[in-house]
Amino acid sequence: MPGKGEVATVFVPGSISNMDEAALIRAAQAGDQNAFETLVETYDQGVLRLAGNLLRSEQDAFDIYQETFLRVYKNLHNFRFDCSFRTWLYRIVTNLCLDHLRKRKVRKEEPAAMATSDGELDRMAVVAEENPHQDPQRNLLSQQLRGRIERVLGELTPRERMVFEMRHYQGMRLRAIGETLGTTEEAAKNCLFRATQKMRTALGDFV
Amino acid sequence: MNCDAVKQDLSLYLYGELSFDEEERLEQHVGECSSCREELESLRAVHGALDVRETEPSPELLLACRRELRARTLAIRQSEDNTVWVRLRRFLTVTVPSPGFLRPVGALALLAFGFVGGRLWDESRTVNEPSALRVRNLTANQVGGVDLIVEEVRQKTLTGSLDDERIREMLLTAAMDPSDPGLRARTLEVLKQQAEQTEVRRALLKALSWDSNPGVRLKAIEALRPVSRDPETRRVLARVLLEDDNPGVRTQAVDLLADEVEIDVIGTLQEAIARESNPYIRQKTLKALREANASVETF
Repeated sequence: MPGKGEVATVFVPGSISNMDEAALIRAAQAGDQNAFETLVETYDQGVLRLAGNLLRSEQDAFDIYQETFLRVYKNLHNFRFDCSFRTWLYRIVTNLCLDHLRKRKVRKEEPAAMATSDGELDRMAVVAEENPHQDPQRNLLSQQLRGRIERVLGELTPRERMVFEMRHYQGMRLRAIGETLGTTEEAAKNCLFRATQKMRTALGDFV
Repeated sequence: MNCDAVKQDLSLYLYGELSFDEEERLEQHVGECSSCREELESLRAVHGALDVRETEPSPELLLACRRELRARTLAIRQSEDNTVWVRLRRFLTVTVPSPGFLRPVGALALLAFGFVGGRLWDESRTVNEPSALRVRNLTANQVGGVDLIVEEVRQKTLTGSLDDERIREMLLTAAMDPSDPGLRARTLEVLKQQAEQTEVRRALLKALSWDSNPGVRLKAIEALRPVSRDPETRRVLARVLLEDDNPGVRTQAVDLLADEVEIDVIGTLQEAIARESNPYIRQKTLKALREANASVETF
């Protein structure tokens, strides 16, 4: 809380500049719960989208969200502004997601896909597709397409999948992806190339 | 540039990850080579197809995540406070061997400390008897007895106005007390008097967005009424109208937004019409749009 004589700053989620963000982080480091929550509001949608797209399970995305921001909460005092807060945050969430994907690979489970007479369909996409106004034939085609995309994504290595997700769906630059994953831009580029090649091969006849 | 090298770079080209010179060379080659052009178009179609998969997290999931996070972080904060208290107690119970003749001096010092401390304390604050004692730890001591570390909860009445910084800070903390929604609601009702103050307004907006209890959120929205024209408040109200799972809270949100329908709010109201399943709220939203001579649908 601001002390006597200090000027309180209003933080508007989604529109904070770097300078505001630094002030916000310092306030949260000093124990200001409101500042912490404003910081969360600025980034949490992206974090949830990344976890949801990667893990294709609302429950898993919920768990990753909690774990990510609880780690931020407990370790924020260690944040020294050596990198951007976004990079620091995404290091946490990507590591958690990679661990989850690796464990899933070991257990050989892929909850996103389900077998049907039309091939594999994406569970989350099927829920999203329940729109009675859409052409059923088109619905089925896009469901099949989603199912195939999910199958290829499930076959990618966790690193390839992460890079592909961050570049294609999150719109992050390869340099930032490399920095977040603790690797070089070149390595991230190679991962992306392999992932898109696999997609190209699997979806070539669909488009 | 040969075809193999170009095909390697096509995906990076579509992602805009090539340098200016690399792009130039690639575009020149693709312009002259039909095979690479076909490959580029095919890859572009694959990129487009991948977009059918993208999903935004549902607003309900996002809200559930935020509310759970608030409960968890506040619980951590509370347990840390307790830990500090226990450590302090432990520190105070450490027995330091001291020469016998100094003991009366220590006792006198404690008495003086208590007297001065009592005088310094604001006289308007009444101190009651301890209301709860809880044993947190115990150890056998060297003289055959036992040292108990107890947590003592005292209740005090602090009297002061909302202008008193200490009172206000305590209220802002109480507004987030995870254990008692009734206390949070009553606190917001009191804080309402100072909704114009930035830190109070921030606390009210946070309660409206993050509190898991709809009764508390209703209190928060009611307290925000005097500042409903503040731009930040309006942004939060718009989000609440679209995302809150409680119809009562959404009704209040549309009421406050309808007070002054501006261009930025029209889009939200139109979106609310498309999403809202509650007929009463839909009707209120429609009325607000009609009064502002705005279209009911988005184009």
